[in-house]
Amino acid sequence: MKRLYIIAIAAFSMIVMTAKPVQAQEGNTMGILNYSMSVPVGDITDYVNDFSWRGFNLDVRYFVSDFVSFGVVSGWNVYNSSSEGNISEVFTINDAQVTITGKQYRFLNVVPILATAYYYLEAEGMVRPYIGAGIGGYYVESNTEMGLYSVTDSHFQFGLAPAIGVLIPAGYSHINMGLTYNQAFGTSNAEGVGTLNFNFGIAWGLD
Amino acid sequence: MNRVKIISALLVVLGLSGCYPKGAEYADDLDLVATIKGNDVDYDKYQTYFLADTVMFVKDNESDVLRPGLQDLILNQIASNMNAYGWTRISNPAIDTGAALITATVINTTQVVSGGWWGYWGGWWGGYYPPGGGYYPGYPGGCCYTYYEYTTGSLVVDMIDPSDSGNGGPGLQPLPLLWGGVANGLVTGSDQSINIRVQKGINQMFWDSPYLDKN
Repeated sequence: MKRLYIIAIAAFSMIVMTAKPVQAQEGNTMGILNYSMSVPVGDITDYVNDFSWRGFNLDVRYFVSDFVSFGVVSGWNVYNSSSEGNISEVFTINDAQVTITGKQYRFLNVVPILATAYYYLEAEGMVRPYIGAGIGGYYVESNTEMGLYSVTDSHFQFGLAPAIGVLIPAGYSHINMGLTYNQAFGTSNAEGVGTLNFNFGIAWGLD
Repeated sequence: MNRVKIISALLVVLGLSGCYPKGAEYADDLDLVATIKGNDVDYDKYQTYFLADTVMFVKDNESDVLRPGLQDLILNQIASNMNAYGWTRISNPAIDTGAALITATVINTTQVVSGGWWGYWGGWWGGYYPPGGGYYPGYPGGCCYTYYEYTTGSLVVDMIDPSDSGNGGPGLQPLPLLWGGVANGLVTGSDQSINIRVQKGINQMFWDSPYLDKN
């Protein structure tokens, strides 16, 4: 996961390096690099429940009109929790009762890969509130560590991401502030993952 | 302008890569204790135990020796817990043939991990995935080389019934396990800190096995 992480950061950085002043109107493409803070919600809080300050995403939007954009968004958020002290897990192996005690560390990595659509309430040059949604898949990797051992589990899960936000003109760029609810739906062998993401980023023109 | 962009991109890479959440920070954070309750064992059948007077030492480095004092510490801690649980220690198993036999084994294994660039990043993050695919703790690897060596130690405590005929059949057969405990962790730190961790590990084995308590 960490290797994927640094490759993704490097790729995003390369995109940023090719950036141009933003024009967010019909026919233009805009990239937004967001710092993404988030909090897990729903059943997944049984696994990790700490607020996460670690995350980012790259949101690319193509404006099909002055008020509508389609695009893709991907990024990474990591959540973690650790036990206050030792905890014990009791389970059965070959009908024998096994108890394991130690400190436990849990990590949850979430990588959304979503197609997006946004509607803007104001035209370019104004403060532009927007609403929209993403649809696509989430790569979800959980890693539980106890002692010198770890167990990793990963799934690709379908999901939705309704979002609201605002683009604020700032010189040649825009500042983005947004709120996204990500819901990766559970499957027969994977738990659903819900997160509320607070995005704060800077937009560049990409064409 | 390009230089500013390149520097900005590098700062993004360095800044974000340094914020991956950390796991264990200290050696004792990695201590793990596991116990196994034998299948269908009637512990009421056993009231006495015989504790083997030697701790077996299994190691992958021929020059390693069990540190002086560690054997006594292990045996005394096991006996203390067994006695506290109401078991009676015997010294001659030939007389009390119904006693459970308890053995202790220390297993030390040295791990060596080296790698290239990825190994460096993994180590820096307190990484968990060496090139071979196993798990290793995040030991500092220095700034410019990727070499990790650490020793893991396990204390295995077994309780068996020497009068049991085992699984039957010809030849030597393993005796069924009545109860087993394993304390596993990194062999690092001062002798005193390791002693404390060993004692805690043994105590934890018994706390996790209340079915052994005869009180």
